[in-house]
Amino acid sequence: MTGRPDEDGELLLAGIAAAWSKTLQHWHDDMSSQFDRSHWAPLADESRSYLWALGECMELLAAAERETEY
Amino acid sequence: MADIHADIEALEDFAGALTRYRHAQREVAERGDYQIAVTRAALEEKAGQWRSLLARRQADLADCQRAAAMDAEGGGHAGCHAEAAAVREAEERLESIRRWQERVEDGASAFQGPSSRFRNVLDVDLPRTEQHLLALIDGLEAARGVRAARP
Repeated sequence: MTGRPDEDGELLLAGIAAAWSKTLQHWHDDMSSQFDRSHWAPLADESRSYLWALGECMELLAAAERETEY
Repeated sequence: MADIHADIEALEDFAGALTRYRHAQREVAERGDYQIAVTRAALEEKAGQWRSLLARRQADLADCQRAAAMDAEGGGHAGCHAEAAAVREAEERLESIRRWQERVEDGASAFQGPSSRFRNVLDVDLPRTEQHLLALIDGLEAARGVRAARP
């Protein structure tokens, strides 16, 4: 991981989402639905919220450094 | 055999992926916090440089104004427009840096909530989720009378 942290984080989230989809191909009982609702969905939501906020923050920091480069 | 227990293998793979995700996202979060610290330090350094420059330029302007006053007494008149413009430039740039420092502090403050929640997810919720998955795997293995080798 060498890019912007928010972009790297998005790649990680995409990776774990793909891993979860792959898991669901082999695990489809009541427990999988419950796990999806109780564990996966909150994790994905919290990850997305954080990465969005991190992206906003990184944009601001880049602008601050750029706009004060005299 | 592999097909029958494909769900167990998939869950084991996913549990491992979650652990790697937790470690990698923690690194992402640390890099985010580090970048905030780097930008704060960079702005403070720039502010310090422009404060020094402003002081030097103000001294130059004062020298010029004293010389101009003496020249005026002698009948001449030397303008200090360039020195005054240089002071104004330093003041404006310092003010701009100060405004960016405020914006960065506001942004960092707004980021604090999501950051703190996500760290809690990584440090508390996700390990619990991983444990829950391992318990599910144990349950499936026990129900089927199989036991996979797991570190």
